[in-house]
Amino acid sequence: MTDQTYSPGLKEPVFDSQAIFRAALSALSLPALKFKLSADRLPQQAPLPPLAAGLALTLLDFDSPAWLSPSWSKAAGWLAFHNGVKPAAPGAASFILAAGLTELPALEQLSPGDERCPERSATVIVNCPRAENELPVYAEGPGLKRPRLLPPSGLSSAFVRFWQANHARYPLGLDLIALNGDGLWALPRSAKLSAEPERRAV
Amino acid sequence: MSQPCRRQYLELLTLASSASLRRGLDGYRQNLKYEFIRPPETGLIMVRGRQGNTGALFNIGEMLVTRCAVKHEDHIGQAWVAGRNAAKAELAALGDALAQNRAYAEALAPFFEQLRRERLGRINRETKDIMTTKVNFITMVRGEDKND
Repeated sequence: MTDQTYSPGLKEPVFDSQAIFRAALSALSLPALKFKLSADRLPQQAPLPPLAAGLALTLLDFDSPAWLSPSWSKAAGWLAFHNGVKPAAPGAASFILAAGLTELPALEQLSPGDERCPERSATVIVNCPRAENELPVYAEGPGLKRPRLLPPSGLSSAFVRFWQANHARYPLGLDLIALNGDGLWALPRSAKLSAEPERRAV
Repeated sequence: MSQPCRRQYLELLTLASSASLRRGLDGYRQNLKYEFIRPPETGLIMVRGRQGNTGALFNIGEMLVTRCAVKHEDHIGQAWVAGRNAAKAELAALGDALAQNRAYAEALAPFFEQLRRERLGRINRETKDIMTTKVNFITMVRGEDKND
């Protein structure tokens, strides 16, 4: 148990979680577009970075087992105290919370849902501070009128290859929420990644 | 009675009337600096049980509870009280935090002693009320099961 296990959660649980949920929903509807959240909506004394802490308190509960990456594992007690979140192995987790891309478990082993219940797939929440992507990547698909360049988040070409396979098994697949400084952007499974945006007749 | 253990005083705090808690703790609430780890929040919990503590687990029903956690100095006080009385949950949580603090233990001892007496009084009263409705069932042995 760390000192932060019993640190406060959201200041205004109803309004703060609604604002955070709105940002996550908007981000998943408009892939690769960053949505900012003001710091006073987020828990500042939590054992997780404010954005990750706020998102975790908004989305997770006792019905959604979560896997925490090594540098965030000390937050397990805090999440259990506030939301009753149970820890799980990566393959059994509804949420994967990772402090960085390098701390992610093998994405292939995460739950993509099944044909009957594709919504039971895992959602990956990963902290991606601003860093150049290995190559410029574009997202296309529902919510995007034209291809949109992904925010610079240190994405590797291996990740892009994984995501192409992830998109191919739609309606199954993972969804990803990237925490990027003061805001978040997302890739739903419906988003297709490519290095070269397709030219489309307008 | 010696200083009760945490389990005992948590029981006293949660089962006390809110008037008694206010009498003993409201002064501390107004004068001490403490922060909310979890502000009072009301919700439903499912009460589960086993018949005779051996049968299969079943849901008895839902119960309204209010929980609260506060931090005073380095002590975390927690409370889960029945009903929707947020002020009571806050006072009970503060009482828990103070009871863990040696600096307040002596000052609070008479208060806990008072809570204990009130609790015993209530149990006695309720037991008396219930006992008047007690019915004894006596089965006459007919003696035909043996040596038949």
